[in-house]
Amino acid sequence: MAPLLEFSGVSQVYEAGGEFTTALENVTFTIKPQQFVTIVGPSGCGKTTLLKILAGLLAPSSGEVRYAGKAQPRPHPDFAMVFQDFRLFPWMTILANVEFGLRFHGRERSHERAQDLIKRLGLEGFERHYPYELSGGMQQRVGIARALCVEPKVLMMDEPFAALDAQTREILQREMLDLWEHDRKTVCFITHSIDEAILLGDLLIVMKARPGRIKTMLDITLPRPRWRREVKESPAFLELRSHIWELLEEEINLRRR
Amino acid sequence: MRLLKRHRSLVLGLSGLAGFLAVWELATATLRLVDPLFLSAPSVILSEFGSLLRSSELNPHLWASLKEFSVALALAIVAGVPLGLLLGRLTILEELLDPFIMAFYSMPKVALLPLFLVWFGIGFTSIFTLVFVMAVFPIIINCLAGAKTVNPALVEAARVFGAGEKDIFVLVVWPSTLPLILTGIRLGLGAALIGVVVAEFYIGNSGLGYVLVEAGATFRTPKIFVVVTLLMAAAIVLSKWLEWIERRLAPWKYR
Repeated sequence: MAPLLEFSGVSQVYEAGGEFTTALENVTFTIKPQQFVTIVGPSGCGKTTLLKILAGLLAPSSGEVRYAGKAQPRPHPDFAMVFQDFRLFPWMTILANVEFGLRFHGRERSHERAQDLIKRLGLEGFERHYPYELSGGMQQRVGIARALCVEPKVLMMDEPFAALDAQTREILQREMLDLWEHDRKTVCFITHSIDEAILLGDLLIVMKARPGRIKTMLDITLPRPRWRREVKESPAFLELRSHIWELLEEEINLRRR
Repeated sequence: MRLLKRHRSLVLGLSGLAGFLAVWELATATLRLVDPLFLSAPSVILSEFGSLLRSSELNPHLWASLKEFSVALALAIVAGVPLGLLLGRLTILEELLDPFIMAFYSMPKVALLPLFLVWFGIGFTSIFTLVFVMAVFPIIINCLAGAKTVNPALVEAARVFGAGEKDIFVLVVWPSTLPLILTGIRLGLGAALIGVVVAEFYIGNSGLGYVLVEAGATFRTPKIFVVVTLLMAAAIVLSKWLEWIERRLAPWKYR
């Protein structure tokens, strides 16, 4: 299958106070349509920068990202993002937040789709509430609904469950997968949780510490759904997990020295 | 009982006020503990208010004060809001003007009144200038702060979903700044009220400030109390009204 997303030689250098920091160095990989890609790496490995470039918020210092064969210098209508810190608009109701993206790119203003997502994400009855009235888990449901409402072909998720408690995180991981099984979008998912990366991803990318480079790419072929005990406690799962753990540990130790 | 619970603070506040007025009335009108020259009984103030209403004696003064207050405040809003927003968005301009703004914001602006009298003479222009100067700085400062509090993360989120610069202004910058603009206006309004009264103390042949000075000089204590009460009521009504608007427009700020 032809790749949907191609990162070729993407580098990013920041300048702050006369000092140059390389956030990303020569990152090259491709993502196939409907693939669920998870990216793990030590903090400061440029994961978020990578996503910003993909989102068209940031132009890479060199290299390029192509979507369906074309470079994308600005946010593309086929893309949507879910943020770690939710980033809901506090002055908008839940419904208005979910419908936010429908205002742009000449998208169809469909109440029905928003209502359907509100239902699917268990937000019914909260349409007229404001984000501050909701718990963190519920707020992130709104964040997910807002992203899905624009019917994106590529869903970017930047540590979307990192700010939630363990239980809520697990529930949302499962729901996320249910939603994904439903329409199989291409997902680019950043996390610092190894378990999460294995549970969700088809392709797992391990990043190196600063400057951010790709260390390893692993195809994960464990049978879905993976939170079943027979998968989660299988030797294959545990082996993969300790393998990735070792890879990351190398990076952390390298940085320490 | 449930009604009482829901409006507890209102009920308690009103009871406190009623008790206070009762004690005041008892001490002045009934027991005559205080010389009426110093302290008028509430009943006397009320009847003074009635007679002032019937004679329409206060009306021209009310109009004069209202005119000075509203013209100066309106211009302070028209000038202060855009200037404050601009300063908040343009750091260079803010740094350039910061010493002036800080100096004028902090200083007791009534001290400038003699200067305005020298410049503009005794009359409306001097009063207007003082009220304007007193109202405009809290507005500028708050709008400046408001423009700075726009969360760049939210701007970025809007941009990801395809918002252009105009959308970002309308959907993100404006709503997140609005509460502080309203706070600025509310504080400017309080300052303007002080400005009107103080300016009229000095300049004057009309206005509530003038009435106060004149009533004091002729020992008409009940009249002083009537005007003070009117000013108090005006300040409460105006600032509560703006607070209500703030809450309506920015419910998330009052969690």
